[in-house]
Amino acid sequence: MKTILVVDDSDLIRWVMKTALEGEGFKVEMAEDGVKAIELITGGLKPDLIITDLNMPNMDGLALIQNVRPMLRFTPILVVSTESQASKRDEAKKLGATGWLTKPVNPEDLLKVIRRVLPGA
Amino acid sequence: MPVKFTRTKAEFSGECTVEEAETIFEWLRKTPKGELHLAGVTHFHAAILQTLMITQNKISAMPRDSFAAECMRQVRSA
Amino acid sequence: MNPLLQQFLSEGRDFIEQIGQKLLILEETPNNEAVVGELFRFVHTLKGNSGLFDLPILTRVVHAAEDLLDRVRDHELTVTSELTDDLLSAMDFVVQLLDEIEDGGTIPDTYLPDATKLVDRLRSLLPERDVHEDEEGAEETMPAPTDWSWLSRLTEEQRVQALAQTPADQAIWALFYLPEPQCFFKGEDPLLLLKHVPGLAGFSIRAAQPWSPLDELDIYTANLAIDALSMADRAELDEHLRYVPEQIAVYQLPRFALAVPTGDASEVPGVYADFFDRARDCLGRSDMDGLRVAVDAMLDMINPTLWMASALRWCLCLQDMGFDTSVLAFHLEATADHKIPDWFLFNRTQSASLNAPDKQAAPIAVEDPKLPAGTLSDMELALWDRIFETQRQFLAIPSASAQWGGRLASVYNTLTGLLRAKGDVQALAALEDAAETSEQEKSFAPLLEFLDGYGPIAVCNDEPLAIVAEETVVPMVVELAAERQIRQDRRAGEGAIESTRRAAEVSADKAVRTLKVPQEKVDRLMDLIGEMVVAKNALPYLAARAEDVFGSRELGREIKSQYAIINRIAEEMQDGIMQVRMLPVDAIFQRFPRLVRDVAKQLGKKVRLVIEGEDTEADKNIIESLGDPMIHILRNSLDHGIEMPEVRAADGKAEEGRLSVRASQEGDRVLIEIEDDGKGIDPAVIKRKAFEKGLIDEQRLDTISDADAVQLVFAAGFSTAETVSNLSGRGVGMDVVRSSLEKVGGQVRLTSEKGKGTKIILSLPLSMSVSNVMMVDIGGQNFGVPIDVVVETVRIKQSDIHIFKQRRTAVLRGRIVPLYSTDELLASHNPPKPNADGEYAVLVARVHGETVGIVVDGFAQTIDVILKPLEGALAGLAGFAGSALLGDGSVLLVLNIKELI
Repeated sequence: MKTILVVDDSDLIRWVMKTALEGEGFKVEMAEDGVKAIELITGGLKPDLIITDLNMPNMDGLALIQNVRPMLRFTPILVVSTESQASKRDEAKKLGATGWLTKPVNPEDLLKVIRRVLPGA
Repeated sequence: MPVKFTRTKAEFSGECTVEEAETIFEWLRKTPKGELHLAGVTHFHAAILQTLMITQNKISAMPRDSFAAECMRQVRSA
Repeated sequence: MNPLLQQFLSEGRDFIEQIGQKLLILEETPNNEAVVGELFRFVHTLKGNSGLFDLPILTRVVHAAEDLLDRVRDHELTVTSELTDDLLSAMDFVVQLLDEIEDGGTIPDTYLPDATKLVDRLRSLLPERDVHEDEEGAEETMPAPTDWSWLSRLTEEQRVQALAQTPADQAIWALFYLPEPQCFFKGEDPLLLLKHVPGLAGFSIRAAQPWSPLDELDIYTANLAIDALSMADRAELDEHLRYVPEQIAVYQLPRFALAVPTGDASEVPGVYADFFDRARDCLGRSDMDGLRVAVDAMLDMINPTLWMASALRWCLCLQDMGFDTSVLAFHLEATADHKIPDWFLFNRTQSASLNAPDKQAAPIAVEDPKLPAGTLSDMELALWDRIFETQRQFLAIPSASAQWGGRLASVYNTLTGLLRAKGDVQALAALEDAAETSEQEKSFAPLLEFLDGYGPIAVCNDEPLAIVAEETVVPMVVELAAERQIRQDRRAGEGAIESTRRAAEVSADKAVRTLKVPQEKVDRLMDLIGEMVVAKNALPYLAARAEDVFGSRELGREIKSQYAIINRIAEEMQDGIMQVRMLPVDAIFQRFPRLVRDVAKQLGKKVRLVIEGEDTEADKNIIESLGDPMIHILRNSLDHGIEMPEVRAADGKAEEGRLSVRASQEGDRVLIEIEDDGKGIDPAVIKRKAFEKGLIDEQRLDTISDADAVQLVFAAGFSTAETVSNLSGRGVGMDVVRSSLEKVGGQVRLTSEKGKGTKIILSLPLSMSVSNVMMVDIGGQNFGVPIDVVVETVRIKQSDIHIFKQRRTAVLRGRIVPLYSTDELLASHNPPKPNADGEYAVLVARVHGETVGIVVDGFAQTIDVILKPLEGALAGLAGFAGSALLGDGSVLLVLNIKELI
């Protein structure tokens, strides 16, 4: 079973993602900010995919990507953001993100994108 | 590990991930006479395909998966 | 403090240090793109991080610096010494702000005016930006390939299927995907993306560049070039490919482009010539049925696996799709030449003729006198040559008289376009004449003559590019040439940018295997292993007790063997932790370039700093203890060693002084040499001064060697500086350098040659590993003495102690040894007491090459401890080498005998 780590400071969004993804047969781990996500990963979690919000307290999505890349070199990372400007996405990509999703994320789009970056999904 | 190595054969099955590319590459380099049994592959990462492009190990069974089979045809037929 | 803010501060300082370094490198080599990139990234990240907190003043300053560097990155601004100064002072200001945050958690508003001034200053350096450039640079896209021969790598069946599935009036989408070399490290899998391309109807995968030899090959560097056909619509494709737009070109293929013969290239002698004559004849008369009959007959004759059979099947297919004679003729002529039809070229000429203002009209004189300057890129030139050459072939294809005029117009228009692109006015006039004559004579001959007369075609690349023009090329070779072409096109387009990007990526990759661990965690491990070492030392005693007290020799032996195992593991563990604590000396050295630059500028001296061996490693504590002494030494060299440029010139030296700092490892010690080529030290002056200050007596003044004399600069109370400058004269002399190094077990030596320069050699232990100390009892309390200074322990009868030169002394092994009592050394009020036999316990130690006796109350065992330097308020206590944690949790103070005496 594939594990997806969802990082978002909104309880609601985490819940929505978890429900949608578990419904599709994924194992879902959750963290409310970058620091918590890093803690999970340094604690041994090896997700097959990370979906992270960009704007979060403590450690934001961009900093998370920077910190995660050295530990998980090849893991696909998708960023989710309300921001429509391309600049943050481009920056995320430069830092090692694989792709992005635009808020509000609809489950159908989510799965389509996941299939694009996660084999066997 | 979706790849099983023996002295003479490497049997790929399921989804071969990028993490395994290094191990596979090492084996292929050290075992040029080893045969590749690819029938059970469902997908291989581009890095894995690269290892198969640059080494010339004999392929004893092509992937059943049509996409993987076409990839192999592309890199090994010419 | 909020741990995140703390992290920001420590990272921020790191960044600023890095920024400072990079700026200096850039000042030397302003065009170093990799450094510009890194520099920008540091500043950018610093800005981004500061945005996480409410620090508007700091963010504004960093932002202004970032804007400047952004322009440097875009080559709109060059790095000058002034720009470096401004950026450096901006960073200094940021350091001040960081200090404020560290102290008070926030930045006082009093910094606002300075910040505003600084930001205005930085902004004033920004060049005006061209609005257009902004728009252009917005999106980088990949050019579509100019070679479609990859289609031959798809099977004939795949292509026939693709044609069958698209409506006749619809074009077919193709994509060219060149994954960037480092894409795997972004979680990308090009094959996965390809696999899910909507409407995927076939693809080709090749190596983008020739593979490096197996031994040098990095399997995680992507090296694939992927082409694919898709039946989906453009919107669907774009949506699927949106994450990698810069790596992909999506373009349309006309349906006929799929007609590429494949198969066995061997010839069937003597059968084809008649067929081609007949087929040409049919085409010339637009007799489609006749052509079909001829092709069918031929197909019956030859083996279907032959390349020729495939070509003929495509001929039928093109007819079925309803293409006109020009398509069929192009295909037929290519087939006759055993070549893959270059449909890209054909398509281009076709659209050129379609765009002609009046297809049937005779050529019209060119009205527009304004010709664009003939500045074509290599790639464009290559294409130019190919199109130009094709016109000749185009004219050679027999055509029905009805189409004659159209073809002339088409060729004329294409050639006009080509010549205008090159800006060749003379040739344009000649072309016009030739076309007119052709028109009048109803013959292509004059135009062909013009083409021949235009001279040899300038081939810009070494490799043969004119695919159609080459005489006998088998399909496989065509493919190779085509691959080369694609590679070249790509290279021409991206070359420079790509190489710098790759360099940056490689350096990013280097950091991948590094784990950042907070210092406290390592320190805690260090403490724990310290306790472990002490605790394990209790086991031999336990073994002895098992034997002596409980009478079990067997248990005693078992405990001893267990001890041996635990001992080994503890030692290895300790070794491992020591390794973790190792830092490169670069951590300290990296501050020097800035320091030397600034100080030299201030003093008006010219100095080149050379640093070597910066990757030499030593324990973190050692490294940290190096910083201040080394800065002091460097300042001394700059201040007193290296002369003013004019003085140097007068002495016949280079104006620019050389200051070199070399680190190296020798056994279990780190050696650091700081050498300058300045005026050196005059031993006579040192001797005189030392005598004046009472550091040496008259007798020593006469006997001391020059080499020993210069060491006197390290003596307490010695300062050679005649004027105290604000740089090195901070009230500390070289003695402070010596004592702070000795605290961590270091030594310092100086050699100097008058007029030639001075060299200072620091020697330090690699790590603060376990020290063996002897515990002594002083006034009822245990203290440690490092075992390496202890010569022996003796008991001396009270009656054997004599007063000599106002000092208690004793004669030991025929030598007079001065005795020091611990109450005078530690200023305590409990003089050591003799034992019941009237004997004093004396620890004999060797200090500064002399043997001394220290009278204590008693001796205890020697133990292994991990010595930690005293911290905080205690750090100034010179008499102590440090403290160590004991197995029972108590703290042992370890004496520094050298300092005490």
